[in-house]
Order: sequence, then structure tokens, then C-alpha cells
Amino acid sequence: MFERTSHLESVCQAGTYGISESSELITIKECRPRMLLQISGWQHSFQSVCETLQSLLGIKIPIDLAMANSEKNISVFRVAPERLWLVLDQESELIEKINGWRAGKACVLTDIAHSRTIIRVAGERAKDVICRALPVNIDASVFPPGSIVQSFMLHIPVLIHHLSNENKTAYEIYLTNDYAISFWEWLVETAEQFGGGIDNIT
Amino acid sequence: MINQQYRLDDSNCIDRSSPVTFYFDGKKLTGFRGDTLASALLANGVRLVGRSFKYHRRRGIYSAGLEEPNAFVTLRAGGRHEPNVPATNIELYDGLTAISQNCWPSLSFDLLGIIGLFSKFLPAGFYYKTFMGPTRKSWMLYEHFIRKAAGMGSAPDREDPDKYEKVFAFCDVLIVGAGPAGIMAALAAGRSGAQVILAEDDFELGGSLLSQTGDHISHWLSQAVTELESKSNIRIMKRTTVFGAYDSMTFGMVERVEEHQAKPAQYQPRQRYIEVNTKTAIIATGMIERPLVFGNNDLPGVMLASAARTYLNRYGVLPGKQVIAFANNNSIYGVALDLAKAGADVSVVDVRASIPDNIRLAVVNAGITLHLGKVVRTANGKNSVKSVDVVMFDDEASVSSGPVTRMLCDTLLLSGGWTPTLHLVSQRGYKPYYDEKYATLVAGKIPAGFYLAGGASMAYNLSHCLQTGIESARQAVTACGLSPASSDHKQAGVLVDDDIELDVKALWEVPNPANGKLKMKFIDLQNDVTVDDVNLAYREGYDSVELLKRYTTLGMSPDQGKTSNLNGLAILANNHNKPINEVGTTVFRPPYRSIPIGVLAGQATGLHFRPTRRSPFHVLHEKNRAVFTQTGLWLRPWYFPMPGEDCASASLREAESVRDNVGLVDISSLGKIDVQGPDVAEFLNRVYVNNWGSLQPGKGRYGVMLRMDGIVMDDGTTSRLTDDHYFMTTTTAGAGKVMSHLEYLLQVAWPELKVHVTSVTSQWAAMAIAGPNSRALLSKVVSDVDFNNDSFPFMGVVHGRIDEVPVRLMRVSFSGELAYEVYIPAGYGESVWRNIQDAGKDFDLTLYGTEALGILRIEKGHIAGPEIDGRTSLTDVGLGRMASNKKSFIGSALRQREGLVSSDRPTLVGLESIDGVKLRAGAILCEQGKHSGHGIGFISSVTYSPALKKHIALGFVSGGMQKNGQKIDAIFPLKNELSSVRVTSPHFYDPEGSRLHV
Repeated sequence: MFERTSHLESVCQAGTYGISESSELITIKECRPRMLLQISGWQHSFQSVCETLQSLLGIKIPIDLAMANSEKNISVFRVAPERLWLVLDQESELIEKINGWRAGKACVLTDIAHSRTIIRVAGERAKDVICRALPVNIDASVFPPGSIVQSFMLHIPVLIHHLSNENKTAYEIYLTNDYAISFWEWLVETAEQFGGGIDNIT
Repeated sequence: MINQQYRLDDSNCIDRSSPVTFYFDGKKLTGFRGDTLASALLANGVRLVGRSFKYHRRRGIYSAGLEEPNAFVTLRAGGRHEPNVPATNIELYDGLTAISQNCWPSLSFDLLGIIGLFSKFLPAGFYYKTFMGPTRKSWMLYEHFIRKAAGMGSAPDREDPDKYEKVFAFCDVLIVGAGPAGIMAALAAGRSGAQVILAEDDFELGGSLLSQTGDHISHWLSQAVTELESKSNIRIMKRTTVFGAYDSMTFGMVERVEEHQAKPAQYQPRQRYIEVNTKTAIIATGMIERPLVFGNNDLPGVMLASAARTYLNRYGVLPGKQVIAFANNNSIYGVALDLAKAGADVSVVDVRASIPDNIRLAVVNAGITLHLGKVVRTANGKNSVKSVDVVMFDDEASVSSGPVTRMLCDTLLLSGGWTPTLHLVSQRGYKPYYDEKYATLVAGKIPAGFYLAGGASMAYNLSHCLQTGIESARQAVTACGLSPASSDHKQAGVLVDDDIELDVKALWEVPNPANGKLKMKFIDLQNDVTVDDVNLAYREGYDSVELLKRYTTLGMSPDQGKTSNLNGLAILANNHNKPINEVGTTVFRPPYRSIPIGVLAGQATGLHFRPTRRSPFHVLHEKNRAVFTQTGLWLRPWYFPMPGEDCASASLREAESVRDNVGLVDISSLGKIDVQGPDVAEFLNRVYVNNWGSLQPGKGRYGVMLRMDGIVMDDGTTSRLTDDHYFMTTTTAGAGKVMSHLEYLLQVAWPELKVHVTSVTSQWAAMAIAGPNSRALLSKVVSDVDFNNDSFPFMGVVHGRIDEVPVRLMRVSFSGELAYEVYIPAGYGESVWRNIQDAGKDFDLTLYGTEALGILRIEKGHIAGPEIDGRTSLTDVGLGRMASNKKSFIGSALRQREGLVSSDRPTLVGLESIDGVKLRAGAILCEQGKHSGHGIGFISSVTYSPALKKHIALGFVSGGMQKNGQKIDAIFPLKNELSSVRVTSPHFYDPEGSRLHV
């Protein structure tokens, strides 16, 4: 099978950037492709779809739009009242279950895995980089780990996930891949004042 | 190099261990770190700093802050050149270069100063009534010279090498101003646990405290700042101006991050624009001292009294050795005492006939001469003030009279009262009102969430300022749902109260003598607006405050009337013979201070002006040496030049290759929408003009959408993949618009339809393979697909694999040739493109770009963006017969309205050049020889057709195809071109469609 290529391949070079003596380095990296499945339903039946999914995957489906539910290799985002995103690592044993799931007419499934580039920004000053384009308060007091928000950065639609269970502050930014290079260039240039490193895709 | 002859031995705020060298008009001077450019110039005895905007009068340093109306300079050079920066607000750094503005050939010898001699010809609004003759076009001639003579510096002509950025910030309490009230408010709010931003324009915290002496003050300030800095919930932002207040408690701030250095540190922005969203705001912006208005009141050496105190106590600069202070209130005496103590010879001219005994005693004991009940009628001097003429003043009759006493001086200080700085409140539409007691404009009703503290709330003495700071913080944190901490200003140390009542006696202008007229009396020094200008405006009917402002320019430009506003309003009110409140006040508008355009742009420059979208094949296009064009946000290959080719020759070659052989083009930018649900067919029936009920799985159909008003919105194909799953494509430009339209309809108009739409534009890389050999090429690389006509007919859609990658294939054609569109999961796009390009070598595959795509579609008569321009109906673009009469659809009613069915509407035609010349998109089409009016239509798209070997076009002509075969004229006024064209069918090439059905 052909190799799946990253939209950032031409610009994402591992190494360091910006102020080298900084003690509050920011690490940036592109995340490895994941399975990203959108599940959309209708008001009268969506609750039962969520219950089915919950028992199929063994993970709680979030009820509000502000918090994700993440476990080991899977995250569930409620991106609209009757719309979920399932995000699974490629190694997840749940992928087979999802692929084998026949949702029938209760909901519709849309594979959007190739549409998004996921960029992880980590470090104590990560928030300070993101807030240079995000018009939403992501201070931990109002946006604790596990939170998600959909907004725009630089006119680009994004979903930001404040990761939980990390040993340092980390956010993942989901954006459509056609904007990826433009966003990446901005991100690295903006982060230069804090200094840090670009990690290999993992 | 000039020594700092006006520098005193001691001061609190400059670092004498850090001498700094700077250049003013090329002259090398020295100052200290902690100086402003203004304080360093004064220390060096530099009085003349600039020339005025209109009359080129000599001007000096007038204030010590942002209210400065005179001392504007151009900072730095080259790309870092920045005009109109007040010297009073420039933090001195080593190597700073500043040049004076609005003078030629030099500041001291300005030939344009001759304009002042003609001031009678340049009154307010002169450009409406003078320089208009002798001919109607005379103004155009004069304007060039007038604009050159006037002005406020020049814009830079080189690219700025520095970077700027934008930040969003959030807090519970935004405190604007870090004077005593702002600091106290920050302490109190911070102790309550609120998230606080304390923004201060200056590079030091303290505000008016920095201009005062006394160990108790420096001790209090030091303690307070230490506590502020120790609190993690308080963000102190020095060098930051809150310039605008907007809806929903949003404020605009600019932080001058590296402005105090010649060149920003590596990776740092020079300035930063911060958009603050706060729950509450405490306006602790203080007060601005007002000048007094009299003859020649703009001479260098004339200065606000508070500024003199700042230069003396903060910067250790003696503003003058022989000082006269002219005032109408008690605040002048603190300044006078400080100056006398520093060794200056000081006299005070006070409008009032009496002053409090304790002040009189202190002043007399300090050796200060008092002149009560008198006014300065005129200042005298050329390059700077040398003397003043003082006369008796009858307060009741408002008359100055009696013998003139000429008093020598080198500095004249003014204090005409104090105006609270309420710009941010006013920007929200809450006008201040005039208060007789204080003789100033004070806040009336203020916006919800705003609280006033300190001078802005008319608190003048220190203890009152601190109390208002505490009280405003208490209200703000309570509004945030927090509990106010018990706060008291003594927690930071005892601050002794200065306990002065201002006792202002309003005096808006020194009246002219009974038998004569004083020299020019300036109200607005920055705009050279005089008392005569305001009086003239009133006489000419510009008698409202808003008209006055626009007619005279009073209060406009960088200083925004900070020192002139109230004097101007009062003089207008005097003309009306009405109270100031009846005449009204103007509204201040953002920005509070001048802001570089660069900081508003931030990083949005070049390709980041808007984010750039790149297709999954972009890297390959670069390797294939594509020349790109911007279509909306997308970068698309325009053409792929061979050595020596330009756009025209490359695109003609590419188009011919498609016609003769096979070509490959990137169409990833097309909008792609996944449409799913049991009601999709019904949904499509409602949004498209044609019928979708009969479309079978495995087939696609061309569709057109109208707007509600019956105008064509977009077109594209939609394929039925399975019973309930459809795949829609839109134009590149229409993708976002169509997606929003569909979402709106589903959520608002037809929530009962069980349909979901999802943009999958980024999910699928897409390419079109067109030309007679396209089938052969694809057969070679795609598995699981039978390409014969029966299995895969025109408008068919199938799924196949390239290598193991699942792909969607549609047999559609934009070029008019046998063609296929291939949709690939974006991550595999590059690999599949490479695979097809490799396989294409056997077929001499040609890559083509948007230019060739345009040639091919114009030859075929397909409409695109230029034809769907938001003005054309379905019938106009020749697709009227597509519309179903058996159903309603969006736009079906309004497309029948009178204007859209008029028989003389221009409709789509083809056009051929008769005389063989290139045609122009946008050309106006006229009947032969009848070149008046609006013509009978226009050309929308043009190309040279390699298939027809002639210049052709698509356009719209009244009467449309009824004019088939007729000759008409195409006129392009911008190039003064006229050409003859023949009306023809828009389907120039293969009108039967035989080539795409092979």
C-alpha cells in the first residue's frame, strides 16, 4: 500500500527553535494519523446511539460540548448536540469494533481521518503561544485538562483539546490539513520567543 | 555634544550610572536611562522641537505625557521609521535617532514658515473657500503644494523589518492606569483573588507619584509595587496603552514590547496588540491639565505646569531658570514651590484675586512673587518665550485692562484647571457633562462593568485617590462574584495627604483688549486651531460641537484634543451665549493614542495576511515547477512552464495536450460535501433547481443552486453513492457559502429533514484526468473498475483502488473531453499523483493548471465564477430549461419576478473576435457605433482558443442568442480599446458533446 504522507512533511523538521536558553521550552510536534470518525444522529434517537456506542467501546460518551472523554487510545468529543467525533490511535483494538459496527439508519458515519492534521503543543508556556491566535480563554481555571473548544485561530477552524493525564501542560490542535503549513509556519514563528523543540511525528 | 546644562543633581527615576547617547536632527546629545526623549532634550537646553501642522510656527515641549500636542518627531530611519511619535512618550535608549517634522530645509530655518504670514488666507475651512480659482480645476493644482506644506511627518517607504503580534487576554478586572488609584485598586482586587491586569502606558508604575518628592511617597510606591509583583494573579503591563473600549467588555491595548530599544531583541515583537476580554474595568486614567489661551500661547518655553513638575522631580531637569507660572487654580503652587526650591526664579500670575492664606504664606516664604487678579495677555519671543505681558483682570466683567507690565522669563507654565481622562468611557457612547464646581467635564452615567477611580473620578488629593481605588476594586470584585478583601491603603505604608482643594476659576481665553486684538490665541496646538477659527466657524453656521470639530479639525489627529477639547467647547458655548452643557460635548473615539498600523496587522502579512490553503499535491506541484496563483485562500498551480515559456504559451500547450492526448489537473480545492440521511433526495430537490428524485446509486448529476432571491448561487455535481449517501461538489469559491447555506436550511428552515451535511473538502485530494487517452491511462492504474461505456458511462460514479488505496471515480468533464475525476483520501494523494504521473509517461501526460482549465471550459461554453457573479439568473446563464416546473426549490418563486424575466436582460452568448485582437474581460458590449449609455452587455471571460485559433469570449448580451451572427462592438475604456466581435453560440467546441461520450 502507498505510504500516507503528512501535509507538514516539507516544513516539519525535528530540532530546536527560537531562544535556546529558555527554561520554559515549548515542544511542538505533529501527531501521527489517527482514526477520526464523525457520528451524526437526530434528536429523538441520538441518546440510544450514544448508549450503543458506550457499551460497544466501553467509554462514557460526554454529554456537553466543553469536555472530552479520553481513555487509553480513544477520545470522544461531542462537537455538536447530535454529533460526536471518535478519535482512535491506529493501534487501538477498538478500531475493529468500530469497523464492524452497523449503525443502521439511527445515525450516519463520516470518515474524516484524512481531513485533519493534529498538532500537539506542550510546555508550561504552551497556553501563551495558543492565546496569540485563539479568542477563547484556555487558562486552566476555566479550561481544565479534558476540556475541548471549537473556535478559530488565524481564521482557521480548530478544535483544541487540553490533554489530561500528561506530566506537563499539553494541547492538541485539530485543523483541516489544507491550512496545516500556513498554521505551522505561524506556530513555530510565534513560539520562537519562548524557545523550544520540534519533535518527530509520533 | 552639548552638556546637560539643565540637569539637576538629584532625581528619583533616572539612572545616572547609565548615560545614553542619542541624536536629534543629527546632533549628538546625551541623557540617562530612565529619561524620555523630551526630558533629555530639555536637559540639553533644546527648546525648539518641531514646527506646527499648518502655519509652521515654532513649537517646543508642552507636556510630559501622551497629551503632548507639539513635540511630535519621526523616530528611527529606514524601515523602522515611525512618524508622529510624541517626544514625551519616547523612552530614551542608546543610539536613538529622532528628527523634527514639518520643516524644510531645517527646523531653525524653515522656509515654509512663510505660510504663517498668510494665515489670514488659511482660516478654518479655507480649502472650501479659498484656492478655488481662477478655474474650476485650480484646487487640484494648489492641493499638491498645500498637502506638501502641511502634514504630520511622512509614512515610511520601506518594509518594516520588525515583527508585531496579536494576543488575546482575559481577566476579571482590567485596571487602566497605574497611578496611585490604579495601584491601590490593583492591590485591593488582587488581594481578593481576582485575575487582574494592570495596564500602564508609562515605563514606570506610579503615575503622578513619580512627579512628587518625599520619602514617604517613594516608600509607599516601592512597597505597593513589591506587593503587586508578588501576586501571581496580578499581571502588570508597563508600556501598555489601553486605546479602545468596545462591545462586551472588550478592550484594545498596545504593548510597546521592544520600543525602548533601537532594534528588538531576537524573536521579540516590537509591539504587541492585545485584545482583552474582562468582566470589569477600573478606569484610573487620571487627569490632564488644561492650558490657558492667550496671545502667542504656543511659543517654545510655554509648558503645562504639571509637566514642569514631572521634568523637575522625576527626571531632574530644570525646565527654566526664570519661570512665570500663569494659573487659575491652586495646583500651580505646589509646582512653584518645587521649582523655587530647585533654584528657579519663580513668579505666579493668578487670575484669582485671592488665594488661601496657607498657600500665600508658603509661597511668599519661598521667595515667589505673586501677581493676583492678573492675566498673561501675550507671550513674547521668537525661538522661545522671552517675556510676557501681564495686565489686571476683572473677573466679574471678564475684562483685562490697565497698564501692561512686561515680565522677563525663559519659561511660562500654565495651569487652566484639570480634565479627567474619560476617553474610554466616552468611546462607549457615555458623554461627560460640564460641572460648574470643578470647571471641568466629569463623568455622568458610565457603562455597566466600568468603575472610576482617582483623577478620572475627580479625586484630586492622594487620600481621596486611594479611597476611590479601594472602593472601585470592591465594586469590581463583587461584580465578578468574589468577596472583597479588607483593604486599606496603609497596608502598603502610610502616604501623607497633600490635601489641596483646586478651587478653579474658569477662564477659557484671555479676552482681547478693548482697543485691539491679541496675537494668535491657540486652542488646539496640534491642529493650529485658534480662537478666531472657532468664532469664524460659529459665524459661518458650524455651530454644533460635531460640526465645529470637523470644520476646524479641533480635537482631531494624534493628540485627540486632550488639551484642547474643553477650551474649544467653552469658547463655542460663549459664542452661543449658552451654558456648555446646552451646547454639548463631542464623543471621543478610539484609539486614545496613535497606533502603528503594523501592530494592528500583527503577523497577518504576506502569505499570512489570510491563512493559505494548499492542496495535498502542493509539494509535488512545487517539484514540477508550477507557477501558483491565489484563488481565494487557495494556492493553485496556474501553469507548469517548460523552459522559455510564459503563462500564455505554457497554458496553450497544456490545453492542446488535453485536447489531443491527456492531461492531469489538481481540483482538490473544489468544495466537497458529504450528504447523508434518509431525506437527502428531498433535500436536494429543495436546494437544486433540477429534479433529484430519479437519481440512482452510482450516478451523478449536474445541479445549480439559487439564492432565495432567484440569483444563481453556485453549481456543481452531486453523486449518489448509496441509497442514503451522496457526495456533492461545489465551486472553489462557493464551497464555504454553500456549506453555510445548507447548514442554515437544515437547522432553521427544515429541521424535520433527516439529513446531515459535512464538509469533506480536506478529506479528499482530487484530480481530473482529461483527454482522449484518459480512459487508457486510468485503466492502467485503477483496479476493480470496468472503464467501458456501459459499466462506467458519462456521469457515472464508481469505487476502485489504486495500489491498495480506495478511490472514488466520477466520469464528468469540465474540458469537454473524455474525462474523469479521481477522489483520493488526502493522505494518499501524493502517492497516487506520483503513480498516475509515472503511468502517464507512456501517454505523454501533461500537467495543466488553472489557466489551461479556463481555456478549455471557455471553448466548451461552461460557466464559472465570472458568469456566476451574484447578478445572473438561471436564464441569464442559459440554463433556464434545467429548472423543474414540478417542484418548489430555493429561489423558485423570486426567479420569476419581473426584473429577472425581463426579455431585455443580457443572457449568455459566445463572442468571437472579428479583427483578431485580444478581448478583455469586463469590456462593455455595444451595438455597432452606438457607444453611449451602459451598452447592451459585457464580456465575462476571455481566452485565445487553441482549438479555434482565434480570440473568443463568453459574455452577456441583451437579446442573447437572438443576436447570433451579429457584429457588435466591445469597448474597454480603461485601455481606450475598441474591437469588433461576432455573437455566436457559447458552445464553441464540440457542441454535440461527442468527445466526452466516447
